[in-house]
Amino acid sequence: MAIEVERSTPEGVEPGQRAVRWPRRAAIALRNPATLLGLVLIAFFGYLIVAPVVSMLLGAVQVAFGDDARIGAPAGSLTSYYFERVFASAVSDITFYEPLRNTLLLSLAAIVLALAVGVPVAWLLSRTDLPGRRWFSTALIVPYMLPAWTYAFAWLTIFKNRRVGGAPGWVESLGIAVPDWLAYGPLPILIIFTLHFIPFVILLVTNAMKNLPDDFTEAAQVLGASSAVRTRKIILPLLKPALLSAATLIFAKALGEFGVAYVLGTPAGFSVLSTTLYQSISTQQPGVAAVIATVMVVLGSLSVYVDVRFLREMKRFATVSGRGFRGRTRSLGARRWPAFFGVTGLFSLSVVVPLGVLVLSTLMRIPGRFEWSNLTLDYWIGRNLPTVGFSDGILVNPKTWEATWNTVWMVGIAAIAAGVLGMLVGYVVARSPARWIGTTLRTVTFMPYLLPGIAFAVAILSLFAVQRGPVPALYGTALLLIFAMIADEMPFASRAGTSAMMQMGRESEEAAQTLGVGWLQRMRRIVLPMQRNALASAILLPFIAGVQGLSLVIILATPGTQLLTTLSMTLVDNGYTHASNGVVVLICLIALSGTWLARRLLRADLSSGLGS
Amino acid sequence: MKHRSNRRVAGAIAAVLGVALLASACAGQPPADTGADITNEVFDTELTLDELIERAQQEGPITVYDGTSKIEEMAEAFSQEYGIEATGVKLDASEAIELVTREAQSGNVVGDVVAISDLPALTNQLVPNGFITNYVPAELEGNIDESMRDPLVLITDPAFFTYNSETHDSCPIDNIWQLTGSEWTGAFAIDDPAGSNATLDWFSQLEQFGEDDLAAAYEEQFDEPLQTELDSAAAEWVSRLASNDPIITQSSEEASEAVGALGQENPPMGLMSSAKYRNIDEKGYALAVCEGLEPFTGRAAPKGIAIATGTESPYAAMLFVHYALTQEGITPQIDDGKISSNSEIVQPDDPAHTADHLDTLFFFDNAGLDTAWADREGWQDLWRTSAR
Repeated sequence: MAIEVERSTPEGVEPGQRAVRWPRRAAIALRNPATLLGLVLIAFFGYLIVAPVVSMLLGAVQVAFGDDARIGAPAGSLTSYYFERVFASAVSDITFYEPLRNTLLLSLAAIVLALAVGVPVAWLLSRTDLPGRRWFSTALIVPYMLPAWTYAFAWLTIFKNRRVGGAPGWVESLGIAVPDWLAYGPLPILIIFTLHFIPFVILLVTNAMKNLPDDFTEAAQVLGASSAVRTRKIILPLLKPALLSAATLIFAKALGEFGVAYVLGTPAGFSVLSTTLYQSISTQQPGVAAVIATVMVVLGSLSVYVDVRFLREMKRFATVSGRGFRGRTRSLGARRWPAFFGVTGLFSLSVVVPLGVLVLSTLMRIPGRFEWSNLTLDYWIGRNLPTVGFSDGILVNPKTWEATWNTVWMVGIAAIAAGVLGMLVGYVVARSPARWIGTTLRTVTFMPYLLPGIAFAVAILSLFAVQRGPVPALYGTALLLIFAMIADEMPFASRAGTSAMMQMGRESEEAAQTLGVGWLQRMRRIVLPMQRNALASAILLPFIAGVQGLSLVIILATPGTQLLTTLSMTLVDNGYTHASNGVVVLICLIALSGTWLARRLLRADLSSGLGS
Repeated sequence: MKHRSNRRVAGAIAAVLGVALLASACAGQPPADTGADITNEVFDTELTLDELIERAQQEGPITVYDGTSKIEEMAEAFSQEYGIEATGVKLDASEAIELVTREAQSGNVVGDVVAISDLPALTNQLVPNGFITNYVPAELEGNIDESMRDPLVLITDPAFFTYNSETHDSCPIDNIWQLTGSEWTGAFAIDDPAGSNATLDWFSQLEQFGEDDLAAAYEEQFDEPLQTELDSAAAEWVSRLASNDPIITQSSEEASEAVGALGQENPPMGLMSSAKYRNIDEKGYALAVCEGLEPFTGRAAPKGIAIATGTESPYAAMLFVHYALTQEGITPQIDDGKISSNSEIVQPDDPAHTADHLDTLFFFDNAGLDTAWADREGWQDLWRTSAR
């Protein structure tokens, strides 16, 4: 294994440096606590993430149970059958190549659109006197708290046409015919992806923008650079890590997002990779599923590689220095109100409409019938309802409260752990002189994002079902679910951590070091306080994602432990869509109060400066 | 600099691989070691019911996996009846198969009893590896048709060809070949065959056991014998149906809305589970079984039940299987129109009036499970290429 180490200050790598033998260089690196920490983290995530992933991907080349007769080799032996089936069979074009093309185009388009809308909004929220910006900075993140399928549901409720039968869509019931291309297929999927992913951009970019010092732009202004030039030459380069982080997250999320593409794509014959993946999992073809998952992992790794390459340049721009002032608020002047209406429009589209449709569906006895007599509060506070399995309203049902409590404490613990771990990963990436450690960590912690949740959950299960060395058998305990959630949420957390730590200059830390302050003390007194804001988002993102995550929970939850997501699925299974939509509204409320609390407790607020 | 970065990438890759190799050493598929020999004898029992209950009450708690959330209700009722703590967990067939496999491999069995609708996977994946054991309660054996004993069938789940009874007074078609004609283009709702085992297995069952009926129905419809380049009448019907632009749904719930929602001018038809006829009451849908349809009014797919070989509570698990085959035990499921394999059980009336249609349903034949399993990919491919 090649181990490479370099000096902790990247700008002055002298040629002679490389002549130093690696044992000595390793010794130097090990003296840095970041290296040691990095090695510990690699071991930890190696077990928690890499092992399950590898065991799952092995399924792509191993004969699965039950396929022995079809393939003519015993279960567990090596085979290329699944690769041939995916890449070179009569249906490859239908099940692989076309979905692959669609997936790539869709994700790239979603990235471009989400950035195009998200970055200006982030700027408005962080650097201007936009009316109500504090409020908007929370409100505009709500789309991320709603499960993506909520948007598909809302879209269909409004736009569906005769193509799929059933009750008429709202537009249709006004007597306007809806064309198929508007109701189904790539266009609505792209719009929904964009709306759903804008919060990523806002969260990551707002944070970075807030930390942009004004010195550079002011200097440029003094030198006569126009605002366009200043944006292009100074602001955007400084924002690159955040933009890349956002783009990578969106790409991977779009890669794996299944519900929206399936619901809206199927009627138009539009399929993506996750559709094929889902179909092969649900028809008991784990081998084919593993091949497709492998492709997704490779694609995702490529995006991480791009991210890492660019990020390497970013070491030069340390902007969180702990000294001086942060960016000043810009007065929008006459453009204040147009900007306000623009942001309000975005809020209406991405929050009010989908959430409104969802809430309305819990208030109607018969879906889609707009009459006063059809409205009811029964599904919220009624008793002895005809829905036999769930005969009390959502708010007065003990099952809801039990599930709520389980959700809050389990996801809460997992999110805090993930957030702290994410900051540590970021610290290692930014500080360890052995850069391969950082790169490895970033790649490893990103992996869970690229895998279908159910596959990841199953792999984790097989790992923790028995005691292995010092790791006890955790299967069947709540602890396993929490571990799995941590692993599953690491992509967000380590991203947030990395992009924050990259911006942090080392002067304060080095000053403390010179004064003889120990590492733990430095972390506690300098690094964490400076990164309070980032830690808040590193915890918040996993919390929100965890509250609405489903696939892990189904497989790993202790039998009988209901979480809100499983409760809502049980309700869907019974056909009680209204009650299930009500539970989704609850999920959103919990995510919102989590956001509020985290900001309160960590005094983190995205709309105002660090010091407020 | 270029050189350096390449080495760095190589280093990172090597590190990932190193960790991966270490990790996979313990995460790969371990050989099946299920302790089958130890517990197998337990299930070959001649115990009377009372003796079984007595032993079962020394054991527990148990966990039961099933594809329907009704299992929670059943487990609760079981606990009350016998004082043995039981938890019902709703899992899709593919999830249940994964769990059972991994639990058996590791010897850490959580699901003691498993009800799975994917019978071909059950007989081809779980049974041969000794992960689960088939147990037929001796007392009830006589009431269960011989073809439903190995693997033991818990219920059969009927799905009916359904029309909208608000728009139509009676079923607008009388032959399933009409669904492949231009009049029903884009107007037949069915669970995505490319993602639904039940549908794929149904195609295979049709080919194996419904071939003559399908061919006869074709002749009745078109007044000429079927000529096809495909392997069978079933394949021809599937292919024509797929190319007739059907409405693909993710669940019977969606299909029931597509067909049954009120106020539609030209409502589609659909194939949906009898359980969805609940929506007549709960959501005001207008759904009715297509009576008189040739050659079948629907299909009835079996769901099996078996015991995890490595269970720590074999007697309690056996008792649960027994309980699930009694009128009292299975009530939550047969209330939806599902049909118990115990012929002594009285079929309650359900919203689809399943009892009236038993003669015209196409019942799966357990003799065809292995062929269905082997042909699954073939049917999936036929559907996908025809749908194009």
